[in-house]
Amino acid sequence: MASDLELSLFEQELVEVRELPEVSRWLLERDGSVSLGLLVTMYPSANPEELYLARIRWTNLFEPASLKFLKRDTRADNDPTAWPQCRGFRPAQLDACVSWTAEGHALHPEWAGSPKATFRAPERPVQYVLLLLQSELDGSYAGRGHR
Amino acid sequence: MNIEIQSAEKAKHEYLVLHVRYLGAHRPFVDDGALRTETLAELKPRVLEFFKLTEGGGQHGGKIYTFAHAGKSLTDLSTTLGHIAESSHELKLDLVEQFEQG
Repeated sequence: MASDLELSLFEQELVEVRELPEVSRWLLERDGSVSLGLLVTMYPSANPEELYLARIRWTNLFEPASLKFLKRDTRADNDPTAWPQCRGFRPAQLDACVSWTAEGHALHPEWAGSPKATFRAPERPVQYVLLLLQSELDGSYAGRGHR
Repeated sequence: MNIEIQSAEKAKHEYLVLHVRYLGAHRPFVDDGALRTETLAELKPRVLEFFKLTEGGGQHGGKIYTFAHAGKSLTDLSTTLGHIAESSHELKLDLVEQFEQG
């Protein structure tokens, strides 16, 4: 369960991220089923017609967040075609195996002890994940996932 | 008077206002008198120090940081700030951490 501090910081960040220049490219919603969760629709700068709905959830705001992509019409979380192909993303496995996601660290517990891969808690966790995800979509996007 | 104006104009063309955002950090790195001739290689230690980051490579690894501009990674560290900014008097960069992937 999220602490009062995490809940407070999360609320504060929800206000602050709406001031980011990038927010005009996003459709941000709260994920009402959890206390620390967001739904955000994003697109790669080179392919603005390709919209992706990301679900970002934190168990602990200072630990890596869980990242899943949902089918935009049904919001199902089990469709590889809802995923973008980006660096470290594995649509067929429905995960992003990178050192900034909870899924990546669950698959690679050894990352916790690696200077290169250990997670350094950001000062602004929500902004961090949103900008990082946008950065990956803009910088490493290679098309939509396949079944 | 004319000399003063010319000097101010010259200074304006030698410097730019630099903002570097590190994803997730509260405050950006700001230098309102950054030399347009400064390279990314020269800038990087200043920025890493500001954000209290240490870059590591080699056998034992460590995090690697790169600059990005308008969503594109800047891999050539010999590039000058003026070259990236072109005719603009302001330059906004992101400092991006390279991540491990499984």
